[in-house]
Amino acid sequence: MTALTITEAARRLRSGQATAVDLLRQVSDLADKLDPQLGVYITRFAGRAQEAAERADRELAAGLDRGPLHGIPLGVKDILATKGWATTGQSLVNDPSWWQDRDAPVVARLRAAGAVITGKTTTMEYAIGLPDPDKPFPVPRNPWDPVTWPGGSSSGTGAGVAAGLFLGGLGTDTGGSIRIPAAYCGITGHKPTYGLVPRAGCLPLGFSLDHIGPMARSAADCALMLDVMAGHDSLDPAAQPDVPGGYAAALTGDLTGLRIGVERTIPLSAPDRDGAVIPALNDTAAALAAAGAELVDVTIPVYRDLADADTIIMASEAFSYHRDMMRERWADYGRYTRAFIAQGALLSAADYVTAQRARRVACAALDDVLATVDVILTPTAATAAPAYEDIDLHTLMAVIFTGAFNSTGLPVLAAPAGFTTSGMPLSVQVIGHPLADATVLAVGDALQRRTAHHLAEPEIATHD
Amino acid sequence: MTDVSPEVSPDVQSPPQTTVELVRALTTAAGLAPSAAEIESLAVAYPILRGAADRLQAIAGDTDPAPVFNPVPMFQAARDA
Repeated sequence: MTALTITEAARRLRSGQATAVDLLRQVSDLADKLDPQLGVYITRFAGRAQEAAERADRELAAGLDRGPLHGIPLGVKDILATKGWATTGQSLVNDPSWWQDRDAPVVARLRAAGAVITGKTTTMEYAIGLPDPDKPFPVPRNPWDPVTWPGGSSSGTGAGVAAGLFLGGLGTDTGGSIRIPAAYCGITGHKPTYGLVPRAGCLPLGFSLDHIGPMARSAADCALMLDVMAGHDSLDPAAQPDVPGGYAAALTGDLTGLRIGVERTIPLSAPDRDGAVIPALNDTAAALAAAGAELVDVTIPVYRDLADADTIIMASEAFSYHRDMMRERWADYGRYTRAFIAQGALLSAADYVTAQRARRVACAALDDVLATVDVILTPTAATAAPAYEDIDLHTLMAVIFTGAFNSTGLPVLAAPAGFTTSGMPLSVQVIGHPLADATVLAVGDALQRRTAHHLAEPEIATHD
Repeated sequence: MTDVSPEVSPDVQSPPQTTVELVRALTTAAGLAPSAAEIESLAVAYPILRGAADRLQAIAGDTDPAPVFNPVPMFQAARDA
């Protein structure tokens, strides 16, 4: 079985092989069956989604085509505002009236493009930590093996796309929260260039590290979503004033003339439990070479510095946002969320400023590496998804290779790269130059024209 | 519903008492009220955080103290180059 992509669904909608109502029924039936086990949704928009799908069909029948997302079912991480519904942040603490009177700009853009929003998806509380089973929220699980973590914090979006509960969705990424669930769930996730997608109406975690991005089966699907999502909005002071666009149009499958730096040293910093990460990286590099790319070995000497900066800055900025609420409502926060955020209380103002200064030094050093190549290729994580019971709270970030690139603000795509011998997904990251999101997506697309890992479905989604 | 617990593994490390006392003082000063077990867990995390902060101090050098990361002009300049 291969999974349905946005690209294929859009084709079926226009060829008369399917309607938006059909697509919605298909994903809703799967959600009825699987969501109680997988914990993908916090809220399902059954009635509103049905209305949106019927409207999409009426418009297409009348000749009004809003583009490739018209009639496509999408999930939205529950830290992004949706008009008329409370955004919980998967927390007892969040004020339910927060932004309830309007959509986040990125959600509004998806709706205007005809997307059918099926509901709000599970997250780690306030996009950090791990699920606390004592709190009244679903515990998200990985459709490839429900005893394992789907990754976080965009857990529900990742698990939902992998299991076919929607065809794409929104995630956010402060230390890897798009790329980790994409990696562990065997799908594609894109952390855009910092400021490319406006963050207004999104609960903050680390103001200077937060990104909103698409998660879907394929890089091509992510490009279709990013074409709609990217663009300036004055409500986000960090929004890029001039957005290149044209992401889907840049996908040709031909990487002739592109120089790819393969980074094999980062995985050496953590144990490869499965022994499969470097072979998957090598196979990916070979597929990209077959697409015409030139491969060279590179090393990011400041990788650890960038990762350290992400850790210190995230803890400091998160604690700045949450301090007053944590003073008053400590026990209402989940145990793992408060454990992460309270780390900010252990750091000084000087630590924070120093981290920002060091970040500039490390970014400049990475620029020197990037000056020699168009993109850098490296694994997303040291292993496939761990079982919940095997997660070590204090070393969690050391086995994930994503946070360094939040410090840089560079565009990064996480794409499926194969499977372990036990059938769990593996992933690689493609890191690009500032605002070169189109190049990063084109590399992912070229890979996916030559491999089928991104189309593999977990058994749970294919059994009656 | 699967019956496997989503509990993560418990801490097996035991931090030095001086670190525990430091963490207790810092969290109290910040107005937080963690339990004794939570303070102990934070004390396991503290050397990792402190090590990261100290490494960053070493590489920050004499870089200007720009406290806010603002990549907008930097990225635009790179794009225009």
